[in-house]
Amino acid sequence: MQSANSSPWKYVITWLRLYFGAHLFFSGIRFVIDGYVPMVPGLAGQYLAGADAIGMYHWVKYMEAIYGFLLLTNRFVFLTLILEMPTTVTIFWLNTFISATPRQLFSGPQELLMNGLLLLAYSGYMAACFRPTLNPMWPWDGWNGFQLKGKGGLLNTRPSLVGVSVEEKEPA
Amino acid sequence: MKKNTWIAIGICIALTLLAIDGSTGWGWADFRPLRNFDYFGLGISWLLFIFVLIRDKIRGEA
Repeated sequence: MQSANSSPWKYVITWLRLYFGAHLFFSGIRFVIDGYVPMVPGLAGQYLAGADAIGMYHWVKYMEAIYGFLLLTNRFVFLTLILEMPTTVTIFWLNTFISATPRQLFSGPQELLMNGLLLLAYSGYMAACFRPTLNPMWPWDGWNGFQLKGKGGLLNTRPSLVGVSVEEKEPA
Repeated sequence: MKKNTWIAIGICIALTLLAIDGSTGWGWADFRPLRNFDYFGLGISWLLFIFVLIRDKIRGEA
């Protein structure tokens, strides 16, 4: 299979990242500008009202605006996708199992698919978490594995997989 | 442009149509016109996507 950084996947992933980014940014910035809270009937509405009452809803929306901006500008994409996942799962659950109207039965799984597929596309960088046994390692020690110039260089990975040329590899 | 880039564009168009159908509910739910939310999401994503394609085309990658 073609690597995630080769055409056609590279461009499909790029479009999906931009669409999910714009989707989050609009959703977040709309709240930041005018405090828009959607009127949702039933239990899902009670959940949103509860989140709003305890002051959590506005944090989620501010985070969405920031995460959307980061996805649109291709910065900290993997971190953003991980941090957005709890909100995505909440939206998926509310839309799919609580609201469950025909349109929500589309938009719930859509949210999970967008975040999940993008996470899959970048998850090569966290391949170590699929190993059954690992020794403890601080993040700053793990960072030593990413000393290639360019975007996302892994020391022991074929450079072509992550979009850097061999010439760009820094001397050890 | 290279064949694989056209395949990618085809997939992105299909995903766009799917997103439009999901938002409007055309053919399977009460029809609702596209919202500003959809225009913004699809407009920005395609605008920046075309920018990436042109940039990579100039570099000889796309």
